[in-house]
Order: sequence, then C-alpha cells, then structure tokens
Amino acid sequence: MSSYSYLFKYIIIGDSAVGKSCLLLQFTDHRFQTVHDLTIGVEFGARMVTIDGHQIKLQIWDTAGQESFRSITRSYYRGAAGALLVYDITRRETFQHLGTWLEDARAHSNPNMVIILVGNKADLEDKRQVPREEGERFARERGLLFIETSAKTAMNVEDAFTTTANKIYEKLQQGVFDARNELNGIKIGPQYNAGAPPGQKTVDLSKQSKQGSSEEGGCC
Amino acid sequence: MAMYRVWKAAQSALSEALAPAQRSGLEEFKEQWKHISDLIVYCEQHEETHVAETTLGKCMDRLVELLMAEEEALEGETGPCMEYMYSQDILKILVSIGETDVPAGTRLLTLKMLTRLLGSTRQRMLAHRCVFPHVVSLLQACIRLVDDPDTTGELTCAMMRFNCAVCGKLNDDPNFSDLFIIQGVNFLPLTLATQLIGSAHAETSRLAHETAALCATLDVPALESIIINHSKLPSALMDVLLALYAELPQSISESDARFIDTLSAFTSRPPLFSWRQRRSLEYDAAVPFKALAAFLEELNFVDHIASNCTERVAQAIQVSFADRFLQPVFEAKLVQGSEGAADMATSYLTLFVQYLKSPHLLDGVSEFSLSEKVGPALIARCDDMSDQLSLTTLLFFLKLLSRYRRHSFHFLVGQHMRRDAAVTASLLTPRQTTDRLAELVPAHLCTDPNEEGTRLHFETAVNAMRLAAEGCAEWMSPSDSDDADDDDDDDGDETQNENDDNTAQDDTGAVLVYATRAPCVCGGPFLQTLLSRLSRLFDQTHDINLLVTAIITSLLEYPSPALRQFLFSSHPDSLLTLLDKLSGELVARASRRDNAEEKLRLFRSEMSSGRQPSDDYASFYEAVILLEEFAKELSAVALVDANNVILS
Repeated sequence: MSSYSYLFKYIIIGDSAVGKSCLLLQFTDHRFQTVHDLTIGVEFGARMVTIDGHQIKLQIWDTAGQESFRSITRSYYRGAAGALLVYDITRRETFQHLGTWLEDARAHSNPNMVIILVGNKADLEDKRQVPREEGERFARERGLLFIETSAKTAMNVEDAFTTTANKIYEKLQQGVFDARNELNGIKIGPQYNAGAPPGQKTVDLSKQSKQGSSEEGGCC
Repeated sequence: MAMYRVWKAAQSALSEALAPAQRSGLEEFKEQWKHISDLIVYCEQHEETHVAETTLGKCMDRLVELLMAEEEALEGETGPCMEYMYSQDILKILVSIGETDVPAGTRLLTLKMLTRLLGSTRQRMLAHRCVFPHVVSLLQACIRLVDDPDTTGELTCAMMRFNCAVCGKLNDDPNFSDLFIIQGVNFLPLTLATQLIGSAHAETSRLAHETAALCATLDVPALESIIINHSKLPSALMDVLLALYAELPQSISESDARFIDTLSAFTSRPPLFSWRQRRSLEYDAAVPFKALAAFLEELNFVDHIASNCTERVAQAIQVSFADRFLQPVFEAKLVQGSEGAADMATSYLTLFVQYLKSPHLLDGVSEFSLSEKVGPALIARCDDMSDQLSLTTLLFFLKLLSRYRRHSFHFLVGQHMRRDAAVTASLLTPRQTTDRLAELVPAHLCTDPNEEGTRLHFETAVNAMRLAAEGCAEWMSPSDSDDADDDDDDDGDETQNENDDNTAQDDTGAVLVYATRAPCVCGGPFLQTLLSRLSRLFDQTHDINLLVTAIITSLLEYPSPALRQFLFSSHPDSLLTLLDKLSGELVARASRRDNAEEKLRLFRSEMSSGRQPSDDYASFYEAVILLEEFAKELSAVALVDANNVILS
C-alpha cells in the first residue's frame, strides 16, 4: 500500500442482510459473494481513491447488523468521518428501521460525520418495495446523501464510497473537519516507511522462502 | 538433528548474502510469515525437531514487532501489515496450530505471540471477525487444558497471561465482552481466571486474581447475571480464603506468643496487606505472621471485588462469604468452642471488621456474628468468667460499632428501644444532665479539674459524633419533626404507629424511633450486659473498664437522640442512675482509705508520667480516674447533642 495524503475512516451500518459486507467486498475486491455469511463483530477493509489529485485511503469498518451486536457497532461510530447507512430496497422493514439507525449514529458519532443513505440490491427491480423517491425524500429531509446501488452488479458501489469521500474532502477544505483531531475520523497521511528491521538475521529457510514466495503466503 | 543445524547455518549465511539493503515493513512481514509457515511444515515433517530449537519464536516476535512499528508510525492506525494479517487470516492459522499443539510447542509460542500482540496494540482489533473467533477458540482450548495433567506450569502461566491480555483489551472496550460470552452463561476470561485463582504457582495465581478482578468489575450488564448465576467466582473466592485460613493457628493454645502479639497488634492497628503487592511472598517462612499476611491479602482481594462490583454481585459475594466461610469456620468455635478457640476466632472476626471496606462484607460479618446462634453467645462473653475472653469480645463489639452498620446497631440496641411516654417524667434537660455528671466524682476526689481537659473532650465528641452521623447517614437520618417539644402533639399517633416504629426494620428509609427524640426505654441484653459490667467498675480490671466505657461512649455518639435521652435520664435503668450509684460507692470506698485524695493525685501524676503506680489499691484509683474522665466524656456528648453542633 503506497503512501497517501489523508486517511478517512468509514463505518457501514444498517439491518442484517441488507448487503453491507457485499458492498465492502465489491468496493475493495471487486467481487460479489452470493452466500450470506453473517458478520459477527466487525469486518475491515481498505482502498485508495483519488480525489482532487490526492491519494486518499479509505479505511472501512463493516459492522454486524443484528441487534445483539448493536453495542459493539456503537463503539465504532466514534472516530468515523463517513457512514454508509444501508437498507435493502426489496425489504421495506429495513427502510423502516433507518430512523433508529440514524438516531444511534447521531448519538454516538461526531456531529460532522458525512452519512450517505444507500438503497442496495437495486438490481432486483421486480422485487422493489421501497420506491427510489421515498429513499431520496428520507435522505433530503435528514440532510443525508443518497444513492441506490447493487453490490451484485457493482452499480454505483464506487460512487457510494467516493461521493462520501468527496463530501468529507470538501468539509476538510472548508475547515469543518480538523484533521488533527482523530475523533473526526480523518488523519493526515504519514510519510510512512516501516523500513528494514534493525539487524535481524533471517537465519533459516530464507532461500526457500524467496524461491517459493507468493503474495498470498501461508502455511495451510 | 545435526543435519538440520548444518542446513540451517547454510540457509542463514545465504539469507544474509541475499538480503536486500532495505525492505518495506509489509515485505518483511510477508517474508516472516512465509518463514513461519515453512518452519511449521518442516517441524511437522521432522518430528525429531522441536519448535523450541528453531527460530519460530523469534519469527513470531518479529511479526509483532513489525505490526507495532507500523502502528507507531501510523499513530495507532491499522496499516498494510495488519491488513495483510487480516486478509490472510493469519491468526486463524496460528490458533488452529496452537489448539492442537502440532508441531509440539507451537501452543506455547502462539499464546505468547497473541499475548504480546494484544498487550501491545492500541488498535481495537478484538472485535474483528478475523480476531475474536480465534481468540474465543484459544480461550476455550485453555479452559479445557487447565485440568489436563500434561499441562505444564509454564503453559498454564502463558494461558493466564493471554487471558490477562484479552481482559486488558476488554477493559478498553467493555462492549466487546459480549463476543466472549458463550451461550449466555459462560464468560470465557472469567471462567479461566476462576479455574486458576487458587493456583499454587504464584505468578499464575496473581494473573488470575488480576483477571478475575477485572472481569467482576467490567461495566457489562450481561456479566452480572453470569457471575451470580453461572460462574463459580463467589465460591472460588471462598475456597482460596478457606485454604489460607486453614494455615492459621486456630486456638490460642496452639499459637506461639509472637503470633498472639502480632494478632493483638493487628486488631488494634491493622497494617495494610494488599492483594496487588503480595508482600507475604517476600517474608521468610519463620516470620510469625507470614500465613496471616497471605490470608489478609486474599481477604483484601475479596474486599476489592465486593467494593467495586455491582450491587447484586456484591450481595452474591456476601452470601458466599457468610455461608461458605464465616458460618462453617467460625460458628462452632464461637458457640461451643474451647476458650482458646473462641478467643482466637473472635480476634480474627475483629480483624475482619477492621480490615474490610466493602459494606456488604461488613454486613456479612455483622449479620453472622449477631445471628440467632452466635449473637447471644458473643454478648454473654462480654461478661465471661475469663477476663481474656471478655476483653477480646468487648474489643470486637467496639470495633464493630465503629463501622456504623445499620444491622449491628439495630441488633444490639435499636431493636430494644420502645416508645414509652411514661419516660417523659424522668427526662432531664441537658443542663441537668451535665450538672449531675459533673457531680459524679466529688470535687475533693477530682484529679484533673482544669478546663483544658474539658475542652479536649468536647472537641473529641464533636469529631466522633460528626463521624458517626456521616457513617450512619444512609440509614439513620434525623426526623424533621423530632423535636422533644412536639412529643405531646404526637402522642395520638404514637399508639397507632408504635409497632412500625419499634420494630425499626423499615427498609424504605423512613425515620426510625432511635433517630427521633421521642421518649423511649432502651434495654436488651447488650446494654444490660454493658451496664452490669460497669456496675462492677471498682471490682474488675482496668482494661475491662476501659473497653466497657469506650463502647458506651461509642453508642452515645451514634446519631440517636432517643438513646442519649434515655441513658441520660433519671429512669431506674438508665446510665446516669447507675453512675449515681457508682458515685455513692466511690465516696464510701474512698472514705475507708487514708489520704485517698492525696494518693489519687499522686497516682494520676505517676500514670501521666508513664511510671508504674505502686499502690496496693491501684485498681481502685484507676477506676476513680476513669470515672472522672468518663463523666467528662459523657458531658461533652450531652453538650454537643444539646447544642446541635453536628447539625450546624
């Protein structure tokens, strides 16, 4: 991972099975996973994006949607600059729960956090239960960004993350965010180079390691 | 093995020759991980090679070093090495190897590595799905391994260190604790700590104590019910306490004199033995109080938990303390034990009362020692044939009353207070009370008539009564309408409310009869015993007299106007009436001695200068001087009460 100008921290929230983890996977790995693997605890992903000529690292925390993990999710709001509040356009109840999620987010996050409302699974138009206009209105009334996505087809996934990043960057330029306060979820990128280890002797198996090295090393 | 060493040396040389001038942290991280993978495969294929003989441990250390270097450079942020570790699910691989311990020795190395990682990182990695399931899995393996006979002391200690590191992270983020609760009943870090809290291995035991204390005081709602209903923590705490108590002398007769002296010194002024410092471990076995110090350190630990946990957990620990420790250990000794055993047991109880800070544990001691079986026996021992046993028991009650627990005051005095309008006729004004107290020792027999002593008594009474008012504030606040002037108006209600007031067991915080100025009669076996002993002021030892008067003063300092009013009344059963009788006896006895006044003054001067008085009638003169000082003490209390100094 090369160096970057800024680091923006994101959190993805919303009901269980609305596609939070799929959005993250699509954004970071350009993959889609059909099997729903329940997120327990938190998941983590990172990707670079370019905004205004600056390399920006997005560090994204994907959370569990289940009620029983709500207290864990809450502890990740603090220190996030952006949030993707996700619902499933084919399940109205996930839309109905947005108020609670929003309340939770606003209660536990910094007041400047940029929130984008994401109506996911937009590829399933025939099963749609939440009209796009309703989502737009909800977002407008609460001062949120809005987008409909499909983690399956990758439609708008890129935009969901970059639109939010643009907005955060804009706020940063306007001085709304203080990059020196890490509670804002923004950090100025380091001139990072962990460097070579001091005097470490790699005494064994290194030849084998060099010959057989692969990016995805591991023993099993 | 020899062949391996040769090969390893060759690899080492080659590695250094081929090492690039500088690598990025991530490159080295990947390389180290590859080494680890290859070493594990090698050791699996070559069973004669133990992992301890390889660089596996060093490579694991290096992984953690790289992660920490990255974290430092990124000011606590997750960087590429950590991301790589997550993406490759490295912890899953390491933990699965650690669980099976194949190749042999990897379990210990994995535990050490994870301990170091969790103990060093600032990142909130414990909730990550690539971390906590594996930490859970490893903790479960540790719990299984505790009882495995093949588990070495070193491994057990490593398991506890790992557990401690997990708890350290949970302390930073208590919300993550839910991830370590299995089926709603088993909080893994607590289970492991409870298993090892009584470990004979000092470091393991210390770590288990640290972890248990942390688990019991975490602010996580779900844990309360687990600790109370499913964990073995309350009983495990008592098991350790019982084991350490068994090491102590159980009777005066089996103790050496040095231990008795130590115990006696501790009961008057207990030194602090902290469970965190474990000073007892540094003592030589010959130190007479080594075992006592170890026991008190453990008691300090139980006290620490009970003082810092939730109300319900503290109640559960109180129940366990009473049922599993106090009752089985002390009841028989106090009720039917030999004099030596009863004396020793009472001394230990006094020590507990001195030591404990947790209100629940103090209540545990109070409720046990004043229970239906034990209480009457202890009260009777205040007037035992054995002066030694009486002294020990009186000291216990003095210390117990100085902790201002509702239960002890209520049991000893409060429950025996009865509203009785007929007492009104015998009530005295504060002025009448102080005048009568001033006349107790006739002027010609007074040895210290100066004002300075009276002022000191007054200041002492103000401080003591303020302390008592604070100590009792939670359960005995004075009534707004407790003015004696209102008594007549309240008469009509008194009959109706008499029962409620007199039972004085209202948990709603209602004002109880002893916190009012309503006319009362106070009796009960404890007061009767004290007054009975006081009536023998001139015929018993000075030490007994000192304790009896100290307890009476202590009771009068409680914020109970009704009690003071009664004891300072001219009722036939009051303290003042008894003191009047003693005054008469004093005059009669003094008149039978030659030069009593002069001898008294000489005696006091010898006492003040620290010389041993030599007169044959030493005990009489001591009693007279004590009576004089006691009267001043009581006057001061009456004066403070009359002036409402405390309330102002």
